[in-house]
Formats: sequence, structure tokens, C-alpha cells
Amino acid sequence: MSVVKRLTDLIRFFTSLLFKSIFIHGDIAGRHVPTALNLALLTVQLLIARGGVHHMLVVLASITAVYVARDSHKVIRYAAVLALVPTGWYFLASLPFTLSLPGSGLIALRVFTVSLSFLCFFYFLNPVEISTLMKWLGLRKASLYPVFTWRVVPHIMQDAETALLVGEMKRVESWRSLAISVVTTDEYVSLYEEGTYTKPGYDPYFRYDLGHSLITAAILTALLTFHAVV
Amino acid sequence: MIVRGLNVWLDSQHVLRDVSLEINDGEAVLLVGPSGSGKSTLLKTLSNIIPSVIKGVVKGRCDPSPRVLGDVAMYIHQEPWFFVSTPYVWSEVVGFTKIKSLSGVREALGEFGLGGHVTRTTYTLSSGEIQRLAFLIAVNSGKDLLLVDEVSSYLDRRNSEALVRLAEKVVKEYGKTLLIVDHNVDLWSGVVSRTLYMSEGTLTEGVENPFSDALKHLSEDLSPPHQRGDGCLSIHIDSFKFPDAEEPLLSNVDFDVCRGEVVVVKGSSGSGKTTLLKIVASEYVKGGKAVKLRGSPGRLVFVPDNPLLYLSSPTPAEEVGREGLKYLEYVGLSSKAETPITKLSSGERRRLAMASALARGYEYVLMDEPTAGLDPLSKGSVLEAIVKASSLGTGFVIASHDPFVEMIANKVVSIERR
Repeated sequence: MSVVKRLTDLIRFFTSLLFKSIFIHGDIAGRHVPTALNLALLTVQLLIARGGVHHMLVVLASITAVYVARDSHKVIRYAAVLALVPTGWYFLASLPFTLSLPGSGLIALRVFTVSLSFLCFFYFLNPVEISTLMKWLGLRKASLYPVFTWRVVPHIMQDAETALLVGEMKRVESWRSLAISVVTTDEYVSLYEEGTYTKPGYDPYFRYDLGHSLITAAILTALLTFHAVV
Repeated sequence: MIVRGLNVWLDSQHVLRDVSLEINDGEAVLLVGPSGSGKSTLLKTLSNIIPSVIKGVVKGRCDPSPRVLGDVAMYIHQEPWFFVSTPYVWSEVVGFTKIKSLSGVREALGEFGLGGHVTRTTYTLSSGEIQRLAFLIAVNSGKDLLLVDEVSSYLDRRNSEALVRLAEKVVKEYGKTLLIVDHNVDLWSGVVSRTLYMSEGTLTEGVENPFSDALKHLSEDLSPPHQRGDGCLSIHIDSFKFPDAEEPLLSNVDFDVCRGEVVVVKGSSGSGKTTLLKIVASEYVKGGKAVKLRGSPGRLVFVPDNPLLYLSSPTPAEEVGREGLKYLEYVGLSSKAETPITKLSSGERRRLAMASALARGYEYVLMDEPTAGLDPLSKGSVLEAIVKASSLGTGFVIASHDPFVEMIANKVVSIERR
């Protein structure tokens, strides 16, 4: 197998994984939890993850609980595979320094926990809420950008994946396929500008889900209690 | 709306020449003409996209002015997915209309045939669904003039007819004014009061069906390739479903394509035609087992519906290589050999993809919607190029909802979602 093919396969694999980890699903009630609460949860998870193995296992359990309780258990495996990328890298990179498998294993577990915490935070981030918050802060014109990013990125990623697939069939270098993806993106910028120019002004509106907010608050309280006690 | 002596220059090219027209409130008008004749330019000028977004020079009189029209008009792009700016169906409705409650969103979506799609991601909507969403937004946001570009390009017959019924409702029940650009004159005959014809930037009124000669030519002259080459490829898919889907999208798909043959895969929007081509391509590349490629798969390539994604060189000459220049002639592109691919039209890019596939010696080509968005004349040249290419021994599997593509098919495979 040539280096070009391996590289193309790898890029396609991670593009598809990132797409599935963040963008693939429609809106769910579990995404209607205040970002402030999600941010607090992430902060506490990161604080606890600084501790030993059992601290990290508690954080991983809380992440699993968040995914399951907020109807997104199917996403865990994509996020976990994606989190394994920096995990593997840090494991291998730290080995020459630690000269110990358990030592590097601990570093890898911490990287995995932190990566998964961030992926969980990004998955449940609702761009419509961010837009609404921006409107409240008087940034009405810029409030379209968060939702627009969530709309456009999967479109571009899917095309990049198709260009890489075709490039692989044509046996051309990956950079050529990626260059075409850039050209396509450039065309899309003008086309989106044309396509949305006559739409009325964007006026975002967002509603929170009480049930999922309470569940998240309960998980946060449990983590805070653990952090305070242990 | 009254327009008098409208002239538009784009990149110093005189695109619209002394265009005059009048459209009454609540009227539906169809605008037809060959690709590149200036139809989209007219719509974009009337909605003030030209010169506000696309740089150009506009001269002439328009009442109300294009700036005012820009506020009351809504332009629905030829490729409708460029109309959508938010990630979810509900956020699109709430963000761009006066409807702010979830129950209101549900009711409005139900009225426009989108019931049950409230939380769906807009990325997965089909063209027809996006067009219905666009009509919903126009009706509920105070826009009075809808400028709809190449409306049925990406729709199958059933979805086209559903959209026509919806357009009729938008005019009759909501009193909106429609200016529709489309190639299918017969489809709109029951809704529009007039048909305008545009050719080389000038407008004529009262044309019956300007494409009747081209359509006659397509119907009479197109025929499947006659010579079958050596070697066949059997495609068999037991079952395929997306990782998180409940039901399989494709099951028991089984057909052969031989070299020199054209096989057309037809099915309504969302039936899995594109997915079928993509999984065959993907399984071919990684040697997977989800698809059984019996016989000798030979060399296989996939041409996506956006043909730009197929190309990998900056100019047609470089794409086909020195040895392949003859194939540019074959598909009628020799005069464009040094034109940057970004400057080629969609039809030209598709023909270039075909020339490239021939030059690279592929035995089988998987093509997705090769005629989408093309007028009957351009459609004819693309289909003729496919027949010519197959006569050189290339086997084609084409996913399309276009009945004209079936005319060059040796075999038609129908897939429908259960």
C-alpha cells in the first residue's frame, strides 16, 4: 500500500469521524442545556482529571452519563475513537521520557479523559443558543455566524471526503484532492452569499429544556461533591 | 414591477441587453432559455444580488428600484442548499420568519409538506424539501416576490409536481408573485400566466415551447450504445444502512454492467441512488465486503454530481494529459483546453470529467446526476458524449432521475425506499 493511499485513507477516516462525532445528528432536547452549565461541567471535569486514575475514571463515568442521559449514547464510540488519536500520540511521545508503560499509560489516560471532555462539550454546544446569546449582547449582525458555521462545515467536510475518495480512485496525490476541496469551498462562499442575500434578517430564538438541564446540574453537583470530598 | 431597458455587464461582458418586462402582483411567470443566456443574471439583478454581491454594471429603469426589490424579493438559488443558513429545520423557520413558537413551527411545516422534520438537520434535506422550506420562509416573512432559479433541476417527476402544486398555492392563497426560471415548460403550464424566453441576453414574450426542437432531437436521436465490450462487472449489495439508521437504505441490489454499456439507476429523491454509487466506489477503493464486485472490476472511477470534485488539475489540458487531448475534442472541449476549470460551466465540467475518465483508461465510470441543471441542448451534448465514450468500451453506471438519461440506457435499475 503506497504512502499516498495510507495518508488519504487516514484523512478520510478522520474527516468522517469528526463529522459523525459533532455534526451528523439533528437537534435533540439534550442540546438545549445552558452553555454556562456545560462549561461549568467541563471545568470541573478538567479539575478532577488532574488527579489519579480513579479521579479520571469518575470523569469518564460522568461523560458517559451525560451522553446517555441526554439521548446521545450512539455518539460515544465516535468520540472515543477520535479521542484515541491524541491519546496514542501522547502515549508514544512520552515513552522515551517516562521509560515506563504504566507512566505513559497514565499520561495517555489523562489525555483521553480531557479529549473526551472537550468533545462532549462541543457535541452538546448548541449554535442556536450561542447566536441567541450574541443577540442579547447586542451582536445581532454577527449572530448568524455560529449557526452558519454549523451549517456549512459538514457540507464542506462531506465534499472533502468525496474529493479524497475520487482522488484515491484516480491515484492522484492527496494534496490535489484537498486543493480541489479548497477551490470548491471558495465557490461555496460566493454561492452561499448569493443564496442567502435576500433572506430576511436573522432573528435567533432559543428555548432551554428543563429536564436535561436538571440532569446536567445533578451530574455537575455529584462531580463537585466528589471533588470537595476526595 | 416594471423594468425598462435593463442592461447588465459582468466581467465587462454584456450579459443582459435592453431587457424590458412587466409583472403584476400575484402573477406567476415562467422564464426559459438556454444555459448561459442570462436568466439567472436577470433574477440576481432584480433581487439586487448584482451589483451588491456579484460585481457588475447595471443600467436601466426598474420600478420599484432594485434596492427596494431586494427587500421585498426573495431569490431561491438554482442549487437550493445554498439558501439554508442554519443547522436545523426549526432554527431556520424561527430565525427567518415571524413564527417563534415550536407549535407554530410544527403547524407551518405541516402546511408545506415538511411535517415531522422539525428537529432534522438541514444538511440532510433534499432539494425539494429545501425549496418547500424556502417557500415557507417567504410566505411567513413578508416577502412578496419570489425569484426561483432552475427550480426542477434536482427534482424527480413526483417532487417537481408537488412543488408546482405548492407554487400554485403560494400564488393563489398567499397572493405572492413568482418569477420562475426552469427548462420544463410543460410542467409549469397550468400555473403560469405567461412564458418569457431569453436568448443571448434579450427577452421575448409569448413563446410556446422554445425547447421543442431540442426535445424532439433528444427524443428521436438518443439511443443506447450498440456495441458491448469484453468483460462485465456485477454489483451486489445485500443490505446497506448508515451507522445510526434504524432501517437499511439499500437492500438486495443486484445488477451487471458490461463494458460499452450504460446502466441507469433510477429512483425518487432520497431513495439511495447517490449512496449506491458512493458505496460501490468506496468498497472498490478499500476492497471491502459490503459490496460484492464479481467478475473483473477493472479500473473504476466515480464522478460526483458536483463534477469539480472529480477534477484534480487546474486546466482541462492538464487534467487529460498530452495523450488525452483527443478526448477533449471528443466531448467538444478542445477550445477550452487552457481555460481554468473554475471558469468552466457545470455541463463543461461534466464533459471534462468524462474526457478525463477516457484519457485515464477507466473501464467503468459511476456518474451521479450528469444532466442536473442543464437545458435540453446541453443535456443532449452530455448524453451524446456518454454514448460516444461507451462506444470506446467504457461501461457507465449513472444515477439519475432524468427520463432523458433513460433513453441512452441499455438497462434501467430501479431502486425505491420501502
